[in-house]
Amino acid sequence: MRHVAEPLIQVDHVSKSFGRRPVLEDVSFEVAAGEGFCILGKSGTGKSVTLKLMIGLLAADRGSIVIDGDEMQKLDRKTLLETRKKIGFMFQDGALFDSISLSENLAFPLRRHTSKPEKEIREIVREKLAEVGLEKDLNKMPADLSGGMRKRAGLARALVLDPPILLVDEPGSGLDPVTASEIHGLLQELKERQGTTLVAVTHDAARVRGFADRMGVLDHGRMIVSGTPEELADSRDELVRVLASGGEGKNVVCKS
Amino acid sequence: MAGIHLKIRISTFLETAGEFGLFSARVARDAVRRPFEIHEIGYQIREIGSRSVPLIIPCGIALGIVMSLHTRASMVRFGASSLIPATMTIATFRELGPMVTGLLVAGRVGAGIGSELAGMRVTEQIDALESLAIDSFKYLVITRVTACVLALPILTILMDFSGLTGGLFSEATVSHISATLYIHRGFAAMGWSDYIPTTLKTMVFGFVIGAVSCFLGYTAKQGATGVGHAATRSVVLSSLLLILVNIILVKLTFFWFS
Repeated sequence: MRHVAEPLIQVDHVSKSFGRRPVLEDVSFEVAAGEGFCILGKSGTGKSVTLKLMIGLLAADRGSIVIDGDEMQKLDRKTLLETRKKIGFMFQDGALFDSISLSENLAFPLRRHTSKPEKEIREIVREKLAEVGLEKDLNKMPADLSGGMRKRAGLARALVLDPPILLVDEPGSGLDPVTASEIHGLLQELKERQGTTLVAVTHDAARVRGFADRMGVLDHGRMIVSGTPEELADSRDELVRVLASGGEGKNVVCKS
Repeated sequence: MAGIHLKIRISTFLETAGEFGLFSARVARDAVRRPFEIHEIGYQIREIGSRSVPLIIPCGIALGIVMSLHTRASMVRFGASSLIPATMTIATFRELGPMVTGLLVAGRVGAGIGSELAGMRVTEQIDALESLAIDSFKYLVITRVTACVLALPILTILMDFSGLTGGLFSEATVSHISATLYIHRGFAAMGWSDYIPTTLKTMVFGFVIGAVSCFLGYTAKQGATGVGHAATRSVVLSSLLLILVNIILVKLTFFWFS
């Protein structure tokens, strides 16, 4: 595993089980500031669990997760909430608050965590929605949005506090290729323009190459390999090769 | 085989009861810690309290009419029809008002809170709140429980007076008693111990309704099925607990205000 200088995120020998079912076993990786790291894996291999552990939504059974110097498992509730302000989280289905409009979804964290005047908050909301192409849908309710729009709105909300770290859960899943490409493009632009540190989980490696400097492959809860996209594409392991190429090429015969 | 099932059921019940105990203790602890989310509590009081008023008032009036009809049928047999207003007032203020209000709110609000929070849980909205550095427990649970605790006594007073109005209407129609005489007779036998403890005990009812429905919603699992279960169980469990807690509260009221 390649060592990254001055890591902003350190996941060190983390294990997690739900009841008697182990989901992650001894997973370790590091992500440097401004780097894009992508976790690949088949469905049900613990990719989303890894992200939720990183933001402290779940507690690891063993190991440690350090974000910008704070060990997430050891923080008290108040400090944990403070640390989360540094992290944006884009949920797989957007997870928008369905009882309030799109603009209110974005204004909500700004009103909670900043003392900005209402006029400025409205401007920021409009600006963030414009970045994801939803400026005309300000007053729509989440139920009136398509899957792709919800995802883009979820991304805008995750970025509304300008966090230096962004965790992204399956950015392109369930979307048509055009919308998926738009979202991946947005993430790439974000990384290049603002230097945001990105950690994304996906099984569609081909599309995340634009912003993924390195990739890691999770299989049966273990991080079996990590490296640059090129290194993974040249791997002797067929599963790694297929995941790293985004499923292009020949089909894989399932062994387990 | 049946023995194993019973063991599992008992174990699950004890586990859930323990979790609920810890949840309630966390509610009691976090309710007195900053931030107090005053704005959201106000919103929840409007949602839980104001929106229950259209249910409470007609139910109270109907209950008062029915109670009055039953009381008259019994009292007339003993030549004690002049005691009808006092009987009605005591019964309404001491027991019927608080209990019926509690059960009505458990039905309307319990199901609402249970399904709303469960829906938020299964669609990751609670996780989203947390990811935005917002304490979801304080924002969603404490506010709703506090609103239930504060709204229940107010709704109970409304229910009490609606019941008396229904009773007065019924009596005035049957026996042509004047409103002044009805009120005079009704409240002559009442003391502060008949109003205060019985109304304040509904704050405990509010806590039970809020805590049970928030617990079932906040900890919901199993997708859409979990939402349905949370809504149904919120009503059933909070109603059941309300009735059981009432026995203890009545006993305590008699002990302290004998």
